[in-house]
Amino acid sequence: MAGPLDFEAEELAQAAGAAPAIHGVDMDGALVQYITSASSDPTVNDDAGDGYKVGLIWIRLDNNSRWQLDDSTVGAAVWTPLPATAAVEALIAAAVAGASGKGANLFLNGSLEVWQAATSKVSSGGGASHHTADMCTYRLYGTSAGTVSRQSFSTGQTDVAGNPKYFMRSIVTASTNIHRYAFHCADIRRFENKTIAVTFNARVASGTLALTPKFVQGFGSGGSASVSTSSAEGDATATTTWQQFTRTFVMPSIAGKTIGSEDANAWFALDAPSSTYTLDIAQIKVEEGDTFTGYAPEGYTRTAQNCMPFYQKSYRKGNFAGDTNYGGVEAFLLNPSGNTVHGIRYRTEMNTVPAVTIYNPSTGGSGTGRDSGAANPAFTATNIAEGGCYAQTTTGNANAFCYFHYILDSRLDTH
Amino acid sequence: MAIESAKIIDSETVELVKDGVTTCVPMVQGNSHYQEYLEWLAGGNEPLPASAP
Repeated sequence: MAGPLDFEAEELAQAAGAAPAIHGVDMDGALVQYITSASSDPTVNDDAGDGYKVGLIWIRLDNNSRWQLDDSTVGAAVWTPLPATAAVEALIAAAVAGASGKGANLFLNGSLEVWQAATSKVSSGGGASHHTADMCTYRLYGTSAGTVSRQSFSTGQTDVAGNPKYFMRSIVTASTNIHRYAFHCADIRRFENKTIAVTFNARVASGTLALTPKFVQGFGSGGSASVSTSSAEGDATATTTWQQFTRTFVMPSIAGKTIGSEDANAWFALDAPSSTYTLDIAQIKVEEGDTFTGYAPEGYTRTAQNCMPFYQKSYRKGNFAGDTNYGGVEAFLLNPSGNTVHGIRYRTEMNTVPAVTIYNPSTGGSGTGRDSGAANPAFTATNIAEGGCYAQTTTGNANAFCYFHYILDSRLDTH
Repeated sequence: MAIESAKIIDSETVELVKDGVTTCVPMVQGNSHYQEYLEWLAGGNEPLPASAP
């Protein structure tokens, strides 16, 4: 009964050749179900009539053979054998983890698919924090310079498990000090007194780069000093081929600590030594326990929704703060009295009360809207709360249509 | 990434200009922009007062 997963309980339950057992549920349109059968191959009659859907995995327990359902047509089901590759093991591990409810990724943007604020961020060093993909920041300390950007994987690549769409690339062109890449997980409380496994993929364009993994508990504004925990497995040395690393962290209690504010969070950090390099990072998973349980499909919609308590924008998916277009703008009439208030109701409640920036969709400038008389009335956001605010102006052309974009920012950037 | 100026809007909001971008920032501990504002104040800077109603 070779294989990476423990099916002993299933074997016992099905020792008498009982009917195949179905495990798991649909998640966001991605199947995480699997079926175990004691000693039977699937047939053309194991089909939609049994409730089976395309993507379902069939695992035969007596010889560890696996199939995936490619066509669920009644009476003509097509089951394709799955090869014994690392990618398949990851797929099955994800299916098992998803079905059991274990192995959830505590890092919300694990596939680095969501980049709401920008797809490229330049740093001129000095330790300044820069937001890159959602829930991610980086800092180049000292007199350093570089850029972090979103890059696309080739279609069908198999070097990184889970078939992610994007990876993060950091090009450092000057350096006098270390660099830190941080992946933020909300709510510090869930990490105390637990063993955490972090799995990530990395490579460099040339040579090698020793990355030092850490897991940090940050207690927010006015809270206790942050606590950094190292991994017993030590550094992860990236080479010119993609490698998957898993590092475990035994997180300490937070008893006696002061949590200062709701931006308290824990983050996985990769510290790079002072040097120039091109570093690629992909597929990050933070989970309870000491074992990597595979990458489960997350999907853009769910990931974006999970990230929205920290950052929201009115712009289109591919447009960013200061872009000049009208896609998604707030639109309303200016009051003839010359004093107009426009309410903004957020798409989801923010993690903390956000900073609000109003952008002009015509000029791209901040602090103003644009009206149909070509004026740029100044707007101020006030009464800002976690769920909404209002923007007010006392200028503009009375009775004109008025438009603006907005950005809501509650991002976590403590290091 | 330095704050260029700040203006008090009301008892709950301060308007910051940073890198040429004007942002309305809630005066709450959990907002990183507000933390930057507090550091700016600690550096001896002063905000413009609120406009008369």
